[in-house]
Amino acid sequence: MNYAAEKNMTELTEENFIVLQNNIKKTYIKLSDKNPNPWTLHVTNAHNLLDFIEESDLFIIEKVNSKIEQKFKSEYYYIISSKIPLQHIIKPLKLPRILPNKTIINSELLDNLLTPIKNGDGNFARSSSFRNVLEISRNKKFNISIPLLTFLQTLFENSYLEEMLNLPFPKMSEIELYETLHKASIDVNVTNS
Amino acid sequence: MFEIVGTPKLQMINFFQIEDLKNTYEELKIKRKSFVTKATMAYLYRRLPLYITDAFDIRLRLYPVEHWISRVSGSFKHLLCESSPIKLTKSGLIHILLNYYKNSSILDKFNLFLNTNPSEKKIYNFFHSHYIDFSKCKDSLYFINIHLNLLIAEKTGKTSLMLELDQVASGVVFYLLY
Repeated sequence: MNYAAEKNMTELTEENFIVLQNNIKKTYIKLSDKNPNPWTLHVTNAHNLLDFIEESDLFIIEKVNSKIEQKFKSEYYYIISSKIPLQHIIKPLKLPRILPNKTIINSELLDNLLTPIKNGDGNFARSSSFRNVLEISRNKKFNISIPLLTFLQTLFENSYLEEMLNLPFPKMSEIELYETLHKASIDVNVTNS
Repeated sequence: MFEIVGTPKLQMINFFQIEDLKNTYEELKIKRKSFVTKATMAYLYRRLPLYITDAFDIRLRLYPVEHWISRVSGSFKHLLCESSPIKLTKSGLIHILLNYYKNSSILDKFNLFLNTNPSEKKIYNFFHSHYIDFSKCKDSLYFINIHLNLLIAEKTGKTSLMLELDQVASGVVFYLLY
């Protein structure tokens, strides 16, 4: 049972996170000694990890040891995921920046990023018979487009968001819009340099 | 003497209008949460490489292992860009602008302009004097993305934009761009 949905948590605030943390199985989790950050949980071995994923509402794994890597066939170096339905997260999560340079995102994360919210338990049919016939080693590498993200954040700050989803920019004048676009492209140059 | 029985007609109309507005409000709230969640996830993964693995299927068609990547329909796919920007040539610039104007009435004018064999600088000048109206685009975020990348390419000479060659099978586009 999803605890967040049961308690009708509409915001993932720090308080709510602690409530969630107290309601997941503590026997499998130890807080990392080195990092006392309450947002970070340390999972000790592969069995614990699998149980943890199955039974917890939310999991954040900071460090993965060699056994866990073997268990996951070194497919995912670091795993971050969430079982809280997306509609229950409306504020930015205060996650620590723990992802290293080598990061493989699991498909669940990409699903969250790229697809609209699906109702139900998220048990999507996956056509495994149509793939994995011949694996190839070449992987495609992407990044998040920072200019576009900056632009979207500007829209959000100016509370044009709901209007944008309904009808594009009815309140934003043409000049304002292009000024925002120029600003987003300039910000990128500054940060890149 | 007459007496009004039941709910007056005007009151009934107001009731249904309020119900409609409530439904619209709920829909917008869900969309808003979806938007913020996705934007937040994108923010968390900014400046980090995202690898998408792929494999041939039984018919030797190349598909991504991540199931939903080839089945995306939302605007948020445009938040993904090439990890390493490449140099934008003149023909590449023309190709991007043809895509930028493809749903606009400016396209004919741009094609006529291309007949004069303009320099790269003149092409950028044409772009600055002919911005498209995003409020009339169907997929405004895509065209905004192109617009942003053109602005950046003008300054840096490089681009990491991914153009959509076929908007229906957009996932395949990622692989056409190898």
